[in-house]
Amino acid sequence: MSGAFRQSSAHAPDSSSLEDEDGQEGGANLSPLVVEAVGKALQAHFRAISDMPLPDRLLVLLAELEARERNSDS
Amino acid sequence: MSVIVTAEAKATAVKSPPSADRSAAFRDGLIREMRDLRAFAVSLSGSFHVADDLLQETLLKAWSNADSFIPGTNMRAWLVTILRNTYYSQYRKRGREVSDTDGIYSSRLATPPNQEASVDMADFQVALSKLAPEHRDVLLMVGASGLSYEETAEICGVAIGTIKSRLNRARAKLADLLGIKEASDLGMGSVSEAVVRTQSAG
Repeated sequence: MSGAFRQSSAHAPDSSSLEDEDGQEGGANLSPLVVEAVGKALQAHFRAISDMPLPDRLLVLLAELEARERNSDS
Repeated sequence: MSVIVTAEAKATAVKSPPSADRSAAFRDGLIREMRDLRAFAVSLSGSFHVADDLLQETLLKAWSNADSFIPGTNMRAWLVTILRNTYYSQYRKRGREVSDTDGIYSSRLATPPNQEASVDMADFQVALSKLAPEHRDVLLMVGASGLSYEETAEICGVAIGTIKSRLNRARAKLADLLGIKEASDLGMGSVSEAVVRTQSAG
């Protein structure tokens, strides 16, 4: 069978040991679609947490700090 | 010009009476940032318990150092700086590096009854926690918190090129851990399909 083995499109060898100054390579040639998918998953994770209400202990602390602030202003 | 407070800026900032520093704008800004900052803290530490401790300390530090915040600069960057420094100086040194995955699984109690969502969150956090700290940090700062390369470089104390490089590696590693692959590798037409397929595969 001819042509059974074909090189994939020319990707630079993985120079993962190098950290160049302009950061263009960074050791991986990531598809923009993969970058997008990672970004969306990360942001969804973040949003899931930030959508949660703050725990009571933090609300209480905020209220205490605000109260002290008001008292010191008077 | 630095967008976050440097020692130099601190020294030249006009000192005003303590009570006047914590203006309504400062307090409002702080409160507005709290939930996103909590997301950062949880993702950084891998534990809701540690995150809330961190958040409490950060809030107190921010409050008592209000005069070192320059109005008009990025409060998020300022808060992330405080929180991250607190984490690394206190929590990492004490060896509290174990992810509290149980805490994140049990968060289903606090979230809407969407079991899948909390399992996904825990799985994602496990992947995040497997990244090298410097890789995870840039992802959380640039990719999730929306800080600029410049701000992130300043917080981490490295060159912008290093941030870009770390970001690239972090994404590659996370994609690998999550099983996100090139669509062409799976013989599929879209990455979204690929993501769905790899998630259902476990």
